[in-house]
Amino acid sequence: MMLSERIAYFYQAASISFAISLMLNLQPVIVLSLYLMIFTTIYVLFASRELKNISENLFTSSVIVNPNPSKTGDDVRIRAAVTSIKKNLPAIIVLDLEGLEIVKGDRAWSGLLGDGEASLDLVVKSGDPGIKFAGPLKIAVMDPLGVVVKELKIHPRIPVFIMEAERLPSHPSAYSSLSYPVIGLSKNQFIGADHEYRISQLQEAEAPAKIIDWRKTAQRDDGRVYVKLYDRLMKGDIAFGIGSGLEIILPNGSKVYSEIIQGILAVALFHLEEGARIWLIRWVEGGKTSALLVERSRAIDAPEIPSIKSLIHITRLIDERELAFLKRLSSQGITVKLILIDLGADLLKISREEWVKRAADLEMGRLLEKVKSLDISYAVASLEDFGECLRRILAYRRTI
Amino acid sequence: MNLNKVSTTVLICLPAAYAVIKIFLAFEQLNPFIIMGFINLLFLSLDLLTQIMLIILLTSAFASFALMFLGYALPLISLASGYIISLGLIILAGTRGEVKPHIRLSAYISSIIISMLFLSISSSTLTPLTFFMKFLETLHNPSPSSGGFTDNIFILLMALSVMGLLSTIPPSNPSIRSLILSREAVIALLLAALIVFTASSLPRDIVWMASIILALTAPLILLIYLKVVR
Repeated sequence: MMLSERIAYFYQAASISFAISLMLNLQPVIVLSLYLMIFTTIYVLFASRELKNISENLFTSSVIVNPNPSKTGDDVRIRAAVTSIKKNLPAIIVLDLEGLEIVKGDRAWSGLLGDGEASLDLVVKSGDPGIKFAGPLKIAVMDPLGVVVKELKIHPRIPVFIMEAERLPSHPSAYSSLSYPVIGLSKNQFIGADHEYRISQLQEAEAPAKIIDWRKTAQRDDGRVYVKLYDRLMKGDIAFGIGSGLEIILPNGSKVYSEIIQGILAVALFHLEEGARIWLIRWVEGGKTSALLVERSRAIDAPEIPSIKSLIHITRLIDERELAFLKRLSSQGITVKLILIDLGADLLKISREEWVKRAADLEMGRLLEKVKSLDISYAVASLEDFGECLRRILAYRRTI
Repeated sequence: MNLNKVSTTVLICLPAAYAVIKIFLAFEQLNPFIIMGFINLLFLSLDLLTQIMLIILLTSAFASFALMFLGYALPLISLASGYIISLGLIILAGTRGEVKPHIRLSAYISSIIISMLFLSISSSTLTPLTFFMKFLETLHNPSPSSGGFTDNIFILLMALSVMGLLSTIPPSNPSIRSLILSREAVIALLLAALIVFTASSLPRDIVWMASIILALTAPLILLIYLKVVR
């Protein structure tokens, strides 16, 4: 709980007036300033009692992002809605945006909550590909005079996946409200998130009625029983590490970091659709790491490296401290698979000059030398082949 | 402008208006230049009859300058006196649309200080020239006269105007009604008045110390309380 910004300034102004009037011996102003300060203090003590009982549980909220994933430069619609159990609550609702530019609408709402739904309708866009964020959705609840404010986070931030048009997965990945979902969209509230529909085929041997899951599978047509077959989905946590030396731009203008993120997203989006969770562990300059847990509908910052079984780490091994970090992860029982990005191959596609060839050889030599000091399985891939390399590692769990 | 906003502005302007009346009454003889200077700036700050007021402002300024060059300095001094007298009200009128309460408070306190200067001048009979001289003198050395300041009507009007000032605190739809209807606000108003009254009725030697202690304690309590509650 805190003073609202304007009242904090008001309080400061009263205190300064008090000090100045004390120096100039202006008695009425001394009394006035003192009165204002004491009034504000006492009012806060009384008014904050009501606000103490306000918690996140009083609000229901939703944030819908559509389309998600989206293309760079395209409009993305965001709708955030809040309803409150408590009536006539003065409040300000703000939706934070990270990496997204507002095209239309306002990300703040203020007024009395409770009578209906308070909503924010925005159109945003992003010129850069990557994972952007909508949220968290925050609410500032105030007393009737707007003196005391209590800030609450009522909805976590949502990842907004922005990709270049040619990288966007071709099949729809948004939820469908149709009775017959679009092909490739297996998630269904009735069937459940863990099963994927494969085919309906004629039952060869009549299954005993008691072992048929009637809710899911059985269907009778012309006296014959058809059985829907489902594959149990493989879902679980996937962890990607993003290492050092990737924040560079190639002479042809392509941003290495952005390409890597898009490569990860192209693979990870399918897994997210099926309910998997993606960990993004980023190596930050200075030897620290930041971990982010991405789910389909929310993203959570983690204070430290999560307890994961395996990690696919994409890097150029520029930072010496990264080697020690990777060794530490291995010693903790985490199976680390390295994807070394060899930019020499990409440079050779831009220019075939002799010095470029030499630089490419040197880069490859450097990468191999560094990785030899680690007892970790690795793959070397150019930026162009990175997506395919990642897909193979994930699908076949093998080192290339 | 809605009624609430008008009544709030009128309440806030009461002490300054009282000081203006007192100063006008203290004049031996009011000449048209004083009134013209006063009305001109006041109307302009209220955005009333802007075109006409601009014409009058320019005409009176040129006329008084011309008269000064002809050897009559009194119109120019009278005009300047009119401008100065309107100062306390202009500050308030100019910030009437301001939504930031700390700016309104700063304007209000400036207006109160100017009004106090006027009240201390108004105790003697004035001419435009003596008003000017006394005003400059009080500006230069304000403490002796304002230290022993006792004008009960002014204090009463100030108390009323504080109500108007506090009603500008709400972030939206400021009104005295919302201040009075809030139970917490009324209790805080009364308790604060009681504390300040008790402190000010202490013996003269202790009152300074008491007010300083109160001024230091209030933000301290606020800070600790907000930290603990969070």
